[in-house]
Amino acid sequence: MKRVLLYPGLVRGFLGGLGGYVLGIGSVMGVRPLIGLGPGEPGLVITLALVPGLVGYLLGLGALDYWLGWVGGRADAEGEDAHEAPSSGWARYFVFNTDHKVIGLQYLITALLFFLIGGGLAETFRLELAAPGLQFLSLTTYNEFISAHGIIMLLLFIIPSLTGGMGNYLVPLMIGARDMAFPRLNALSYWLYLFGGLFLLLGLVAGGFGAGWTAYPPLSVREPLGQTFFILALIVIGFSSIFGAVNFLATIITLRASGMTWWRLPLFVWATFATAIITLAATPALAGGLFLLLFERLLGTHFFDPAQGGDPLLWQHVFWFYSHPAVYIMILPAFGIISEVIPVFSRKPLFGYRFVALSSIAISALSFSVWAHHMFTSGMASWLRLPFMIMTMSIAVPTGIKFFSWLATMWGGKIRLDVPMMFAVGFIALFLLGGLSGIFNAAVPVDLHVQDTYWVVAHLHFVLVGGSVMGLFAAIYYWFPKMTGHHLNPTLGKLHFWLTFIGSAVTYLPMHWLGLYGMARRVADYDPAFGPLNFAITVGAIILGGSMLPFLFNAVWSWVKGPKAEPNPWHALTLEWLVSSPPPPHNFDGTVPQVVGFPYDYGVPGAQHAVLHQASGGER
Amino acid sequence: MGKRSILLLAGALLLAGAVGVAIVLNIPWFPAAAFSEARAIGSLFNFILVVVVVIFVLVEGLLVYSLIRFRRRPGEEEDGPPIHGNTPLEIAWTVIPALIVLVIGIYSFKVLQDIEVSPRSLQEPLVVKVIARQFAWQFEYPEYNVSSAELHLPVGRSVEFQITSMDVIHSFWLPSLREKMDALPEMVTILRATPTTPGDYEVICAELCGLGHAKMRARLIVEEASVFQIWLEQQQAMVQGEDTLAVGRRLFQSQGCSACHTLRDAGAEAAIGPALDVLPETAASRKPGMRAYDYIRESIINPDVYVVPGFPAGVMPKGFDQRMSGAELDTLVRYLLEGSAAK
Repeated sequence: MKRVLLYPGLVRGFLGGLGGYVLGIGSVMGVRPLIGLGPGEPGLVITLALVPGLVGYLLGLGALDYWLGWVGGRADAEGEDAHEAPSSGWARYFVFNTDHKVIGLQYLITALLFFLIGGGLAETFRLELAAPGLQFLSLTTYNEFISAHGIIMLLLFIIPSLTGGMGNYLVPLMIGARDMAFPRLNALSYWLYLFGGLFLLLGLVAGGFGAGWTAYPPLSVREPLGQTFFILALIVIGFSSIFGAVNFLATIITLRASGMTWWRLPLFVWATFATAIITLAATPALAGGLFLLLFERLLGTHFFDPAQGGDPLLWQHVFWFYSHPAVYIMILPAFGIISEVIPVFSRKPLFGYRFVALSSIAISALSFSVWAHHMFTSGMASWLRLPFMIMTMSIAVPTGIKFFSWLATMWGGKIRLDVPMMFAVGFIALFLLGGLSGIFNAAVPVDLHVQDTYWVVAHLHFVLVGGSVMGLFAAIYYWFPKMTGHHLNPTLGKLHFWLTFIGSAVTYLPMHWLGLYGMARRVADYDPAFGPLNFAITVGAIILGGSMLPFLFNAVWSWVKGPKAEPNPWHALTLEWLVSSPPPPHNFDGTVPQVVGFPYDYGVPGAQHAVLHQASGGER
Repeated sequence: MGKRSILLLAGALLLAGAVGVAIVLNIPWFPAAAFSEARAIGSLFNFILVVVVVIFVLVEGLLVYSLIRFRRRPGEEEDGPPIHGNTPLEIAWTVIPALIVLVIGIYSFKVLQDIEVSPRSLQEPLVVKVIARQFAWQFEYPEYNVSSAELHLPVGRSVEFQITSMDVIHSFWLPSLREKMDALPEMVTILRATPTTPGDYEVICAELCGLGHAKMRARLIVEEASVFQIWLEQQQAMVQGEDTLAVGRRLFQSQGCSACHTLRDAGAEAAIGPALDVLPETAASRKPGMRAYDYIRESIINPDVYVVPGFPAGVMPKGFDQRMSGAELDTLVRYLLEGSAAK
């Protein structure tokens, strides 16, 4: 007990954060009267107190120990794992641990918890929507639920699980490195994400925010206190992302093992690289917009107030400048995962590797040129719609390249439908629907009708659930043996797959028709004629929710009691499969990886992607 | 792979594609169309639909075929053939989709020109000011000095909607037109359309605007020019009339009350807020100790002080005392208290 409270870690961090916050609030409210001001509007006090709150949290966590020790002139020249933190067993996941494998799992599990929360919100409002009329949710609470659902799923689940979770765990292993380029910064990214996520949840109870995950002013300027929590949480999480992007880029550029040329890089690493470029370039724009919105709410600025010379469209441009590239942050890692899984389970090289690798970079670049397709009906200058339509349609090309390459990889192969492959195939089947419905959205005259309707809700869920979530589960089933040293039960995995696939189809297919026929988005109630379809959608949502049960049971049970996993259960070639399951503390302890060939040379007798040389004495 | 199997596969995919196209083109995707622009948009939609269904059937078909044909047979332990790529094929599946989206883009541009730029009728367009506020629509006809909570349009004459908001961003969506345009405060956005088909349609708010967003709708009535003329004259007559009944009725309609309340005398049938036909009987007893007149007056200018059980608070717009003079407010209250019962 004493250890938990006094030693650096989650509990002490939480106490430090709370203490810092209280100190901050007390200070602000104490100082203000002394300089002749009133107690201060709650939003302002909460914002100012965030600084000591965050510092207290990091101090309590032990995140700043190394730097403080260095500044203070610590006697020894200790490296990363500088304090007596537990380095094995489950306790290490609750402390500031710089091992990328620990951080990856921290991200993954935290993200899955947020997935359950976001999903719970959805199940609740889907129950409300099962019949016309208002049954048990008030109009205000409904709007708060859908807003929370959106932001939690996008920023607290999908991005962290795919980049922070899978990216962190796999990239150093796949390139033959001991860890990321900046392990301490990596840990800081995780703990900032946790802080931001919990802070956002706090906002749900501290007044709520009901302006959608898109928070358009003027509505968002008038929302209650929870909207300020939303803004602050996103700023903190945004910094977490930016630090992560710097880390990925530095790692991939500088820490590749000997022999790993760019044309021998696994496609998941290419994907993470492209994703990090987007994250680094786009997230600061969101931060900028969030600060403007914060000032609008707290300081009475007029950036978005047309009566005072501002423009609400300013928010939309700045917001979407980040949020459109953000959706490619959400899908590129999933594309990378599919490119890893399909060759292994087709026992064939990935077809068209170079085009596929470059297509990720193309998507990354193009993603910055399309943001205003979210604004075709916004009242922006009408000539702007044309270049954005053209660029949006062009993104179909690099995306199509990937799809055709995956099909060509499977063609003529020896396909083994293990659970990871089932999710990969499910990804292709469902994401395709989302990608194709996107073509309609790109065509301006059609978008004038479908924008802000359930057609868009259908589109976004097919690409995010049918795409990103399926991709994430493909990754989890594929790399679980490596990460935990145990096998997942395949029967439960197949059940999970079918429930997800069928649940997604039943939930999201009818939404296309509803949108076209007249059901707007973000509505607590609708035309009674839409009742039967909404009921069917709710049934689908329940199936989808139920799909998590076999998965959660399987994951927990197998981690503790599942059959032990060999180093390379799937007979794959990439570097992570050359080490034990789970890998040793510094990945390639006692060996030096050397890359000698292509990562997907299945079918080539004796082909190797990499070998591990025994390290000479003193080399670590 | 044998030539015969490839031909069979191609044939099967073609057939599946044709069946898919036949199915989707026969699904009624859209509600009734009221405007000429709906046709061009519908055709573009169908074109994209056909292209998309063909691609869908092709990809899913190849996927399903591969899963069956190239499934590892029991006992098969070898890998597949080490094929790394085929540059001509990869170029083809880069160029062909690029051409497809180019065609869709050009067609889209043409439709956009058609519905927005090309002149449609010889007359000056009918200007309708669309005023959005949390949570009701109001339509003004400056040419005729008429204000209404219902959108009436004559067949055959182009309309220019001048759209604005009094508070947050809303969106003016006419599914029967297949178009929407956001309503922004202090700005006027424009939508142009040509009504062609008489009927009863919907105006729906399509931008999250607060708690009443789902309730923010209005009726769109497209009618023959002669019928529209009669409606205009009725609206104008109410403006010119002197008696309480006519002025009160006109206020009730022009202030947007019909958007949410039922009042038979004013021809209002909405059920978002409480029905008002019973007011003469109930107004005195709603709040004990409060006179009927005061209760009605307070309900208009301060709607959240007392909300009839079963109805949500915060939906009825505030600020009616700013939008009417004291005399008008008094007339409206007396109309609701006495006028509608005097039938």
